[in-house]
Amino acid sequence: MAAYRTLRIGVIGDFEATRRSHLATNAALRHAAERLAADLEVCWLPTSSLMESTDQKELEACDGLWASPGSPYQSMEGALRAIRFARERNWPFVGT
Amino acid sequence: MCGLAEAGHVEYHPDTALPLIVSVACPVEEWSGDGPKLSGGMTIGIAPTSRASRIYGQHQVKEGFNCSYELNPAFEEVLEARGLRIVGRGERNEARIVELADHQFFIATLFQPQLASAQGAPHPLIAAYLKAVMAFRQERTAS
Repeated sequence: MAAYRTLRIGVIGDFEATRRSHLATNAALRHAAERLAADLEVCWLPTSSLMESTDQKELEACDGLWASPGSPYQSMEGALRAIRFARERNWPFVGT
Repeated sequence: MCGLAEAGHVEYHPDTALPLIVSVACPVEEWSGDGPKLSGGMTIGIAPTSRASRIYGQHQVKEGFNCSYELNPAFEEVLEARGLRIVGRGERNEARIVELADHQFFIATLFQPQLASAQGAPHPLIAAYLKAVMAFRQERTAS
């Protein structure tokens, strides 16, 4: 397995296993990864930890960011920070 | 309307223009098991020369309608002026897809493409996003 191809997607949001849109987000990423023959690691980034973090290392460790559906976020400010990071630092981003 | 609540932020916090899109709450979150998915589809007109048009490969697409919040049209001009292009519009001309100019890949939708994805048939927006992520990763590890 080519380790360099493992992509890390940071999903900005507070994952709930009962939310269909959250499960669909994970599944849809898998479907796309399968099509592109990519290995994927999906990490949900809790919005309150995004609010509390003092640096951007966690975001920088992701190869792409996704703002999840199903608001309200626990920390809107945390979510906005991550989205601003994607915008200002030119990180691949999708918001759904 | 969610858009109105966020609108004030746009006026004095231009940097928070984005939450107008990504923070829309979709109250129709759960529906029973494997029943009919969404309450109707909507046709979205895609702007030419947009990333979205390159991704979809057509200028009219159908997506599921599952959200009763919209982008307040009064703020479209403000957002467009800041480089946030409205590239997909629904039947009532409401904003459905936005993308940032001057960015390698930055798209937001007022619907959930992930709900229309299936094994063997990934949603084109999500596939395009992942392709951009791959390219970015390769670029990052090469340097």
